[in-house]
Amino acid sequence: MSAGSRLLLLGLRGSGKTTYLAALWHLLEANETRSALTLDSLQPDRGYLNRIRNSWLAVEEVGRTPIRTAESVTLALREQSTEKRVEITIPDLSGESFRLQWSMRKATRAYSDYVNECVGVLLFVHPDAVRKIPLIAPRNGSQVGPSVEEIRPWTPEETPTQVQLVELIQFVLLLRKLADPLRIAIIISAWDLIKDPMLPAAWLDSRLPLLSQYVRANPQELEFRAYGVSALGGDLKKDREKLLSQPMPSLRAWILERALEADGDLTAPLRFVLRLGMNSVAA
Amino acid sequence: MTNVQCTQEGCQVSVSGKCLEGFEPVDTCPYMSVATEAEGVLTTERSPGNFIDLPQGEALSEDQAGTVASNGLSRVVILAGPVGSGKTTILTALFEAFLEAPFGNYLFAGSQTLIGFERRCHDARVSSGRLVGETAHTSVREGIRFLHLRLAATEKGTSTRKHLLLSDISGEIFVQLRDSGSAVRDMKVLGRADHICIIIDGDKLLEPETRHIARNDARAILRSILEAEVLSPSCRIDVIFSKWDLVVSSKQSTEVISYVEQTRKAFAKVIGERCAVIFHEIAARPESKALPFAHGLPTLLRSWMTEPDIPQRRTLYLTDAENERELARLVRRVAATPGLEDAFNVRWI
Repeated sequence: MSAGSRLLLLGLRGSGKTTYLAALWHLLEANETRSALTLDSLQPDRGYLNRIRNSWLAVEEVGRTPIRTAESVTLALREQSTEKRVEITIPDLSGESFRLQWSMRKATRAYSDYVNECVGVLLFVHPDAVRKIPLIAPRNGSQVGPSVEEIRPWTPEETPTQVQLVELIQFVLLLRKLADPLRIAIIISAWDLIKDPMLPAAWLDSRLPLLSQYVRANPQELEFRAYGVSALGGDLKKDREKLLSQPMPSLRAWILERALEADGDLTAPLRFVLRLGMNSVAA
Repeated sequence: MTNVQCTQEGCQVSVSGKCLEGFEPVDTCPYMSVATEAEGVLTTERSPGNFIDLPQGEALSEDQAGTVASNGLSRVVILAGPVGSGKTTILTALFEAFLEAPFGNYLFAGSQTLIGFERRCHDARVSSGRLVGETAHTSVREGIRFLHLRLAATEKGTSTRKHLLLSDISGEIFVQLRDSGSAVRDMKVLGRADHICIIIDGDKLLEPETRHIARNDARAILRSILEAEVLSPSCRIDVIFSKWDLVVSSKQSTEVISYVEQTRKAFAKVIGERCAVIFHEIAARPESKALPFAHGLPTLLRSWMTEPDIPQRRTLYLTDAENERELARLVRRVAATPGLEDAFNVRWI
């Protein structure tokens, strides 16, 4: 693994990118629980990570990441099984910057330069922020649409979430110059909201079928896995007291992938995109 | 005098001077416009150095479609038919189907025209605020445009991807083709088509006053294209009876279906041995629940995605009287197309 591998957190506003980063940083830095990747050494600049971690510890909103002040995070990690040192860079880009790519067809030059050599992508989707736009029902069907006509012109915002996410990945592939397939860990955040016993890949098939087809249909360019992650551990308002009463906050966050049993090691998606040896969620 | 304005919801830059997105100076924000009042017009200045342009995602021009087609396996489909016959609705219904699940045994593998699809899908979605789903008519001013899908066939564990380039051309242009042989020859894209789909408006078949015109318009467009000899030898014809839900739910459905049978024969006669032809009954976005959404589209899609058996030996049965002219044309085509000699086996009867 080369030092300073570039990873990309991709997702629309409120998809859980910063919350995952906050929980990941706490797990790595606190080192209270088993993790296949551990912190090798403290990186020089930790201000941003510590700020978002404190919001996470207090079970508070981490806040919206502005486009301009997006922070870039560098982590020096060590793979426990091999003792190998891995350095990664992850900019915490705002969801707004991705919406801008879709609706205004522009990306910052810095983003373009970064994606040039991007090794892998963590793509975030929040189950409560999946926008589907139904068709107007046939005349003798059940009424889905409005009861009074109020015609609105099309705008780019009137687009299903999955169409926007496919386009964002297409942009990454267009800008990226590396020859090997791009690894994408699709992280369905706030997995605690999914009440049915279901695996993340099946959820992806049923809720984001276009995205699911796209990542499966291009094995030459893309390799993917789907994860369900509860980075906060529950609902910010409803479960706040319960979460705050957890004596060891590291135990709040959990992840699952190919089995319904959850695991506390949030580094599985990182290990997958970095092509490290033990890259499945240990159930 | 200048003043800054922002299109971003919740941004107070014009009042507070502070950019919601944190850009400094504020006019480097991509949402920002700088209004120059002195010039009397509103000019929008953005900082080109900080941003790169991404592909627009709109329908492709002929040249752009050509570039895509040359980049891997591809199929070029021309949807031809009068205004309102349902050409664009077939395209939007196909896209809507892929939004729900793999379709016709194909997986969606990408599209360079996602904005183009989304724009065309809008009027049939609840977000349009309409009570009845519609498709905006394609303007003649747009010229020749293509929507793009990349689809993967997944059979026996192997995946083959193909670019599917689907024309979105105003029906008015096909009326010109019906009326003028030179208009057909000027439309160079016909020579690159793997499929020509002639659409007959099913709604128009319901009434005696409109059915003959609907059939004859479509037949005349097809004949005009065929007689101009612009199609490639491997091009196939799909004859599509659109809005089939209206046919099956009509009180005169038996009579209409019988008329459709005659229509098939009339088309088969026009096409003759020149091209392989398949007839389709399509209800892309049914107005009633008589048929399911995208009825007939999986078969149509498979027809588009399948390679023709070319070179194949085809036997043309020609009679002296009617076909001296026909043979002269054939000889010219064979001579002009390398490798075609083996594809035909001409016999006199």
